[in-house]
Amino acid sequence: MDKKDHIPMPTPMERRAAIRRIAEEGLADTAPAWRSLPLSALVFGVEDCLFMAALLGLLPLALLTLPARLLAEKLPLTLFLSAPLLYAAAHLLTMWKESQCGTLDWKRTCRLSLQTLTALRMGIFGGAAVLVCVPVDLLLWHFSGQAMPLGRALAVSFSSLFLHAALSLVCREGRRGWAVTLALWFLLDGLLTVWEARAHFLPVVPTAVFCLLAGAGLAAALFRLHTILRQPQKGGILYAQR
Amino acid sequence: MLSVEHVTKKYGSFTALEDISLTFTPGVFGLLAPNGAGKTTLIKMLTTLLFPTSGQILWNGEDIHALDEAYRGLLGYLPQEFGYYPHYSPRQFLRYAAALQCVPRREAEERIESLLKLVGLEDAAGKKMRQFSGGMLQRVGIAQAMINDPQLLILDEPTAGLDPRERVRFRNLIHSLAAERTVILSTHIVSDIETIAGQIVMFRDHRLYCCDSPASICSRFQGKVFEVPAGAALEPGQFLLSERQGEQGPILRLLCDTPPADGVPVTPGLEDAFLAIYREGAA
Repeated sequence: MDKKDHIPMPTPMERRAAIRRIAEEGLADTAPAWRSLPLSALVFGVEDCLFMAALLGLLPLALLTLPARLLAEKLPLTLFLSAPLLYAAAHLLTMWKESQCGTLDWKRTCRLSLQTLTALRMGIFGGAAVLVCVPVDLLLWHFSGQAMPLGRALAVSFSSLFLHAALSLVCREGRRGWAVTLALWFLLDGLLTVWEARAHFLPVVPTAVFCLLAGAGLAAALFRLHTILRQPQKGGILYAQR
Repeated sequence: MLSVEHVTKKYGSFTALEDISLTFTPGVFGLLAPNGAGKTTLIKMLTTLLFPTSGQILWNGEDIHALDEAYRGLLGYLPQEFGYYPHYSPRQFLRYAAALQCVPRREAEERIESLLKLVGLEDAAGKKMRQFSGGMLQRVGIAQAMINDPQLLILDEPTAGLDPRERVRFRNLIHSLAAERTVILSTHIVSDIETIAGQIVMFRDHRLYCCDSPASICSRFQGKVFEVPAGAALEPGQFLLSERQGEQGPILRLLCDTPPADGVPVTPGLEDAFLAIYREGAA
């Protein structure tokens, strides 16, 4: 008699049940840990930073004191330069506060990696920036005597905001990524301001270009967020390299 | 079980730790060494905050960095300088810590209440932490480190800045937490761990000097520690460990191989061993 005949083999039904049970248990914990994180936990301890950032996001409204003609002239550049204010301020202020409070070390050892937490926060900041951007743009657009189509005004704002978001998410992997982002953005803003003063070129750039930039920026930012959330272990490696 | 296997950590050309091999099992392990000996470097490697330059750290046979969040989920860590948000109460702060440790909400609420009781903060659970003393904040830190019921609890200089009463309270707390888990506690204060640590880990010249029980470390100096009245000049081969006030006046505690004149042999304590091991010029 073959030795194999002594081994009690499972019936096809038992085998299927066992495979189902193993698959169910294996899949039970595959949901990413961050999905169970309440929204309040994302802004816990940094609400004051968000408040400050929101005030900065409203700063362009100071231009409402200008005469409508002057406001209309400055509108495209104002929209482009001011759109990422809230996002950048929220990101930098929360980072600064965390480093000042000394909370980073124990957060880096939590099950939810600091990298994931930061990425989720940046997503929240992006959403908040859009929410503030739209009414600010509407007011500026209205008081400039509707100097350009509303869709174009929003496209200019969003192209700037999403490009900045994508840049900050890409740069944050590197050493002092926030400083690199800031330096690159100031450089771009400076060049744009000088160029606009000389050639007054922004009004002639087609709306489609801004839409394209906004779409590309948003896609790049979302892709980067997705990548970060899929690779939470990179947070530790990043810290260890410092 | 946590195993450190031939771990070396270098910062550029400076070697902070060299070829360290250790095994941590359930119980209290005290990392006892002077400042700058590499305790915090080892702790940062154990908590995944630093990578070893060479060697590896394994939890039950698996690399801790490969385990990633699974390892961090079983780890509780109180850093040397515990960061907190002063405008929140301990209860709110612990809820936040529980969220970051992915503890289910209902389980977290029960755990927070029991931890607040354990660390003696149930009466101050709703007060803002900015009103807290250093000892109370350290107790919040311990509760934060315990929020996920960790199998491995790592405390970096947890008694620094605490008054003697708080230190005693803290020691008792650590002792009660160590029954079912591995507790690694770093300190340069001998009395912090003398009574609670089952094993003492010591480094010298950035290498592992010993990992042994306090009694065994003390026994290395048995018959070599003597007390003599103050005023006697130190002879070659004698090393002054400490000084205390006796009934007849000041008394010196000496380390030497041959009994000094008028020397009374005494049982060496862990502090004697610490001072002897880390004395200047010790080989």
